Amino acid sequence: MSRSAPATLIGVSDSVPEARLRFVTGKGGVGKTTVAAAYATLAATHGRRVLAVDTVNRGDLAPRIEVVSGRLGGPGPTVLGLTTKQALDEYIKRYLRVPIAPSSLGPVSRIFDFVSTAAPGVREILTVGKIGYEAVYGPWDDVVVDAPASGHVIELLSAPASLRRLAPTGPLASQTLWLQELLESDRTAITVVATPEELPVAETDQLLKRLRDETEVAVDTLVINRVPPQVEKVGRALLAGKAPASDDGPTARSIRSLVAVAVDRDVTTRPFVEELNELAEAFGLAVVEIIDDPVNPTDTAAAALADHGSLAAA
Amino acid sequence: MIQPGTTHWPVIDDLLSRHSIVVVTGNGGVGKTTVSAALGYRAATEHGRRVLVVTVDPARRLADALGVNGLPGEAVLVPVGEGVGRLWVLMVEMGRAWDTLVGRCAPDAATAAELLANDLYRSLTTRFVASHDYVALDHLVLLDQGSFDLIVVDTPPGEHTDDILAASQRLRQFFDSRLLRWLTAGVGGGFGQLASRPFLAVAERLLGGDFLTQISVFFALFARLRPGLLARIERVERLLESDSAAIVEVWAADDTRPRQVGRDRSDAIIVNRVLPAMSPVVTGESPGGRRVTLQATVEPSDLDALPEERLRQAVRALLVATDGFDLRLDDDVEVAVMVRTSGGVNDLDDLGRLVAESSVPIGSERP
Repeated sequence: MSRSAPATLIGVSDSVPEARLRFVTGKGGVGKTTVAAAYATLAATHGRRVLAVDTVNRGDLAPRIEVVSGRLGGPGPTVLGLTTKQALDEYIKRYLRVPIAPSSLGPVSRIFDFVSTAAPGVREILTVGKIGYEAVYGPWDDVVVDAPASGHVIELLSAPASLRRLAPTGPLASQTLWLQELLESDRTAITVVATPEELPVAETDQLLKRLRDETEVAVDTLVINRVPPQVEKVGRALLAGKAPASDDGPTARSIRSLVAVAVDRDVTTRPFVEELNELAEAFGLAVVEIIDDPVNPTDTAAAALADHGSLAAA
Repeated sequence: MIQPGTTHWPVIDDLLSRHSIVVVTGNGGVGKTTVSAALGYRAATEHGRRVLVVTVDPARRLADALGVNGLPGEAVLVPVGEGVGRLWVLMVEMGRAWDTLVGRCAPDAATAAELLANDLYRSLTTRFVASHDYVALDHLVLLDQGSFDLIVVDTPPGEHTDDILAASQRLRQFFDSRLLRWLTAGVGGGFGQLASRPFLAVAERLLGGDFLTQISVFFALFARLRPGLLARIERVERLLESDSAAIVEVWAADDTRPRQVGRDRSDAIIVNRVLPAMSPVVTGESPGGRRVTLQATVEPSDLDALPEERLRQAVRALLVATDGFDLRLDDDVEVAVMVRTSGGVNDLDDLGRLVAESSVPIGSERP
């Protein structure tokens, strides 16, 4: 597969094999990065060539993938940390064929500032353009994107359409059609991650509605992350009696208080697990529940995805 | 172990009694809004202050408990009891953050209306120059009315907590920037004479001339907010820099994300959702100064006494999630904890209970 860029990318999606492209999003703090790492490592363990894209680029994705890949051996996923500046440099070089290198264009940062802060949709089109380019021309079977949180992912995925609306004739706009085709194709899918808590559930509802109404990209999976173990019954029985110890020393009191917290977590989160399942049903999504595991969260998430058959096509 | 029952919350009481501004910062999901409400409640009930809590996006239950649900933009009086203090809560309507600012800062109504109707306005203002970060802080000018002794500002959740305090500065820099001058220079004169600049030449090739002109027209309009906005920003900055402003940084005991060193400007750190079986200890071991860790008051082997593996797993997960808590402290930063209570905050009594149960000093082993 050639990695050199053609003069135009319009229409190429018909003839060139594409990777599967998965965006993982959700409210900030629900474990998007862990779930993205789980998708990437799961695919890699099945011998697939995986690119994991870190769009937030705080350096959180690579270590999670390394921890798991290191244990499994073999070639792990390749991790790409994406910044707007890199994407812009690459874009200018590839498509505009500016005779001088971008970095020598006076302070290139001025263009960067302008593009990233002042021109609507441009930052997003560069980011999603780079991802799309890798999915179409990169040597990958799977491209997994640790996508930005809620509101920003809408901007990212709707960038091709909104840029064409705002600037129908510009050179950037001419690049939007093939991207939109890719995003709307059945090779591209979104996983929304949520935790069973009040604000994440409310935000997930909003996010699913906006993804449906404002983008043409299909959401197919809802991951319910950090589901507490179901311990209500056994915990209450214990708290009602004298167990675990007949004495009432500080240790026994501490353990009883921990059991009370574990029961409370189970009881208070269960309605939210139910609400998320109802949401998934309403939006026609598959549900993957991941039991809370602060020790090896990525392994546990990958195991849950594997059980669910998230890599059936491998 | 944290023993409830005292009503002295040393670090926090000192902070609440002396300041007129408390800015609450922290990562998303650590409980900033609950902490802000608890601080406001404490200041009103224990210190007799007239407190305004400016909150962003509270959970429905908390908004219900405070009685502000469905009342964005209004200071709602919260019935906290017969004490001398009063507590108001104002919920910021983030979706309309810029609309509000435009209304306040435009030189006249016509300019405001023209801006709000501009095609680019919505897509640009929702995402650039830290508008969300700034808009909560903008309420600090309410101090000038004299109705409040203390404003507690709950900052927006997000990935860039460090940026919040710098938000006003970045907004100001934007209005003073050459970028804005370039963007507005095209209006009237056209881009012809400017296209010789490599910057605009590349921008035009990227975006097309029409789009560039459209952007330029918008910013020419936007730049008319400058005098009004700068005056407000300067007032907010002066208030934030004064001795009467304190920054409280919130961490969650069960937040397993990587922990940064406490920010330079924080006056106090609150470790939220500390389990009853965890004892927070401050030591002087770290090369950079002090550190706070959470230590379990039970051994892992103690859990063997529990029936059923599932329960052992659940309890072990709780311990593991908080046991690794380790935060370095700047030398002049004080630490307080808030306990994890069952069921969260559903009404004002819960808020009072949360504050009372948290009102204990933490174990300290200073060098």
